Amino acid sequence: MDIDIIVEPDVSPQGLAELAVEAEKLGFRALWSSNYHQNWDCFLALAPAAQATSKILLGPLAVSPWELHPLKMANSLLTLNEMSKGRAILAVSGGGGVLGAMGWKISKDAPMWPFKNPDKGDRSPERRVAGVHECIEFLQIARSGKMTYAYDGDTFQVTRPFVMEYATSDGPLIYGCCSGPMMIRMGARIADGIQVSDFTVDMMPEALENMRQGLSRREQPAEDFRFGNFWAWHIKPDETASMYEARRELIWRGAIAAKNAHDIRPHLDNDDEVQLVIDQWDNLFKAFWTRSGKIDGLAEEIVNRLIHGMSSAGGPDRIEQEIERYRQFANSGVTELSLRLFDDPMEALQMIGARVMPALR
Amino acid sequence: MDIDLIVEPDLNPAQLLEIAQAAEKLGIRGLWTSNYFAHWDPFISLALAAQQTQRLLLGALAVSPFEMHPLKISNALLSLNEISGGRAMVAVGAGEGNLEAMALKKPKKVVGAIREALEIVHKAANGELAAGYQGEHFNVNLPCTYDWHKSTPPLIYGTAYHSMMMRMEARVADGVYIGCTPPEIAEPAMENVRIGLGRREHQPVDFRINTFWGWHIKKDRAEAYRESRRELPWRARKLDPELLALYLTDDEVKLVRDNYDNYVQSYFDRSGHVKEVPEEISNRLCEGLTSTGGLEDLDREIERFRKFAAAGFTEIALRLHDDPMDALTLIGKHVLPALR
Repeated sequence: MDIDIIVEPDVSPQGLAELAVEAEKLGFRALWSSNYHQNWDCFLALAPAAQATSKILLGPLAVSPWELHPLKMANSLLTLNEMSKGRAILAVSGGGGVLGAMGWKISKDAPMWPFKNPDKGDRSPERRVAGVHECIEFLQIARSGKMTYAYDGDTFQVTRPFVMEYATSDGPLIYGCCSGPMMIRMGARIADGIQVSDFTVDMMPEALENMRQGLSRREQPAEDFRFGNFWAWHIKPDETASMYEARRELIWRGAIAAKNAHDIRPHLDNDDEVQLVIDQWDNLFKAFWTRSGKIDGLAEEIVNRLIHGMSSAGGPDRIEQEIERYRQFANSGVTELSLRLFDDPMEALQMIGARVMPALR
Repeated sequence: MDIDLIVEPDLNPAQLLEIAQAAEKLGIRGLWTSNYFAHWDPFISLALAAQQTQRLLLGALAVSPFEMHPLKISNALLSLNEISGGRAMVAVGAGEGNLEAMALKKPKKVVGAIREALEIVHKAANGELAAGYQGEHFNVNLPCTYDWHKSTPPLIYGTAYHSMMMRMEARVADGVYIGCTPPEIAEPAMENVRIGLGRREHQPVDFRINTFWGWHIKKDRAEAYRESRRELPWRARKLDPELLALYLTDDEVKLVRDNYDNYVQSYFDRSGHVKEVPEEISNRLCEGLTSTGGLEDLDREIERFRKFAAAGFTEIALRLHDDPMDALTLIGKHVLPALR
């Protein structure tokens, strides 16, 4: 199993380049930039890293076709791919914070794009799985470098003949950000890989079953289908700092963000505790946006169980335990673990390089 | 008056860097990439030039908010601006070919929508988007502080062909980018700009007025005309009869309009041969709507550029086509010294 890193969206292009150089030296497979609504452009920010490295894969995680039309996405992706000589990667998602920030809605019959639904008044994407499918399909056509006369999807269209003549490098790798069953099956059917988010070891069998179903429906078998898992890394030399960071970010762990009781339950003792966590969602969010890491209304012991269940947190003495968890991920079929770094990413990177990478080789 | 360059969309980032370094050395003010629908991303492809030049302004021309939400435009623009140390620029326009390619449509109130887009990008660039933005067309629903953006704000232009757009952009943008307006009709455009400027709450210190202008001066005069004829279908608001009438008789205008598809074909087949239209008529348009000719025509063009300057343009952006380095060298040697 390979290790990737995902970094905060506020890391500068120069900072990304420095991390990429170090990550490449340490043997990481890929560095993912984060695509947030008011931060560095997730493609452009990787341009200096593309110049400064030669092996590591580079790409944004994640971009939705409802925030950037697949044609625009293709141009950004292929530009980065050429600049990195075939090392670009991209994870396509159905939504995310950027979409929420800008309120896009796209519709085939819309008078303009974005379009505000006159009845509902909202701008939420509909038929997300189908839309992401179309986007991945379009990106694959674009990277082929073949003349194509049109793309007529239900959601996204390209009406003019196009050929991305400038795209001469191999790749790029195109992932689907797929955590729901339908999305996983779709991603496995058409993408180069899928990236699930915050999946614990016990969630893997179901994900793998969906992935197998999707893979079985491919027109052409995938030679090296990738199965990545986004996983939060908070381990630090200072355990207190680590737990603060983990508490601050706990709201964004997949099951909690989605208020998914089924996936919160394995980490707690009973349903009442699960409900308590869901009831305190606003306080979990407050701990993030105030940067306090202070979660009102939840006992520390419950918070710690969630943190240790859903992320890697604690002092360096936790690393052996985490390596064991990562081995279980690998045994489950995960081909790369994408460790999401937060504060002091270089320190985290070097710790992972020194302690985790050798153990997983 | 300054000189900018606009280059073809098929130049790769290394070629852009080479042009940028040469342009900077010669004293060109800005380099614009072309935002086409199946080409290099116009922002990302400037990253190399941003890292390896010091003074040259660098920007994308033109980006429509109907193809890219103003928040995404802001992120790309401010990223380029930081990488370049405060030298990024963008021209925001209603959009043409890219929208058609993506089957995206413009709203009826297009001037209002562009105004909203310019306001969002301007607020983002100046740290004024923390409260979000609620427009009729575009929303920003989350706080955007952009506290990572430390450089001098980028220049934000609006592109305009028509009076209402010019007035609005003069009111809200850092500059107006007027599309292919020959000096003969610059005054009405300038009047609209003045009207818009008059409506600003605070007069800008250095409001920019730019125009897109085709450059086809070459050592080989025949080749220059061929290239110029090839690009004619995209000139003068796609050969708007009102502008054609400046150089042609009514019958000739009709002939050109009736053969517009042949002009498009001469672009796609790269021949510069427009079927059914006498070459002399097309050449007259080339001379009126662009700078076309051999080296012996340079003085005539410099005189035309002086008219642009006298009309109030602060810069003209010369659109280069084939052999951009040759063109840049000519401009650097003959045009820039004459305009200093």
